[in-house]
Amino acid sequence: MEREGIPTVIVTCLPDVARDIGVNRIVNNRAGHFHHPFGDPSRTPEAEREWRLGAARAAVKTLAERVDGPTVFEY
Amino acid sequence: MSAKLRVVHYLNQFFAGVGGEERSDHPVSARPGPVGPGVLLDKILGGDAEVVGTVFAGDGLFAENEEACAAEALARIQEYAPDLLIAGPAFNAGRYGLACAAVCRAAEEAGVPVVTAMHPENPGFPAAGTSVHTVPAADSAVGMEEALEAAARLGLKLARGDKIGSAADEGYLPRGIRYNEVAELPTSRRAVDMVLRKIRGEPYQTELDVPTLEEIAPPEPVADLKKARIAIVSEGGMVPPGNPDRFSGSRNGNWATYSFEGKDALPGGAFISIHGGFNTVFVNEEPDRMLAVDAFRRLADEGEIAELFDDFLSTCGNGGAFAEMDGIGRAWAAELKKGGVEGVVLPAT
Repeated sequence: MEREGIPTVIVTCLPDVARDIGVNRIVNNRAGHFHHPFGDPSRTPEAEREWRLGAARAAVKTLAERVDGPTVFEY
Repeated sequence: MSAKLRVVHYLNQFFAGVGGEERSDHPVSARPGPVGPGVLLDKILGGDAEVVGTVFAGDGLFAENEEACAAEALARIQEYAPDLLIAGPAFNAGRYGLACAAVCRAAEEAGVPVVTAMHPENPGFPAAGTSVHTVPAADSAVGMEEALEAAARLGLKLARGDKIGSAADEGYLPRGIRYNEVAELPTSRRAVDMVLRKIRGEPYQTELDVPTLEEIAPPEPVADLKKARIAIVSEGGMVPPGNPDRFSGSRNGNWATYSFEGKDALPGGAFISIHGGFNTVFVNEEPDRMLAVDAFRRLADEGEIAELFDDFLSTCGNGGAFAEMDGIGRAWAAELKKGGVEGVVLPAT
């Protein structure tokens, strides 16, 4: 998708894998998990929704950032 | 003694001696026995096989009417009741290579063993697909004899129904197919032997070529998120309950478009994950733990993005082959561009 000119961000807890295969925009959501990149079931439902909103915001913000190559953004 | 194997040879108009580019509209034709390089091929085949007929056509005509020409060539080939079809060598002649590929595919589908020969960069090689065997040829006719020898050697094995080994062992171009085989030594021994050879500076052969990945230059960032339509796509195996598009949980090649239309959040049951590589319980309980539709709707409501794209492009990436996923990515890019999407979020497991 980026080859075709559409900025794309991957949201993952395995940023090293994403970086090694050449993904340019990576959000490392450490509090998330391999099994649920936009979830954190350890929180209360309300807190999880707020956490997810923050993760979604962090992800879209990277789309407006200029990057030169694989870049990891922490959330 | 059994009868000689019957070989049919496919050529273009040039190698069949009809003429050059000015005759590239020559119709599909056939002649008994070997023609042109077929004489050398017949000699190489030796006592076990013979070229019983030659089928040829103009490259230009073939390129413009591939399906009809391949069908016509197949009919001519079958008149000779062949045990084997050898097509080319096409060297680096693109239209000739494509014609060889099309003729081979048609003949193979009809149950005729086939082999073709061409330069690895001839577009006919990928067009030959994963079932046709292609042996390498030089980029010009100086490599005629070597290419015919390689084609004859492999072709005779195919015609006899012999077991065909790996591309490296048999001398054909890798088709992207892996075979399981029993090794004499266990993995640990082979790995240690390999590393010792490497340390000593001796040649060694990897058992697994790591695919080389293309570097993608980052595109221009989104100019103004507040005006941008954002899409969520995923490799997390998210499908409607019942998995209507039959994604497989591993080594999947399918993708589909589903919809977020009218959904402010994804309650349990809106989507399920059929991904075979992670624990899907949490995501199935609450699909937004993968797709975050609730969060992106809020970002849109609060004006941080213009809107969430309603089309949801989905696949299962577990154990996905790079080439397959690359194809899916290209298809998605086309869909997203059509939908006016300016940025993409891809949650990945």
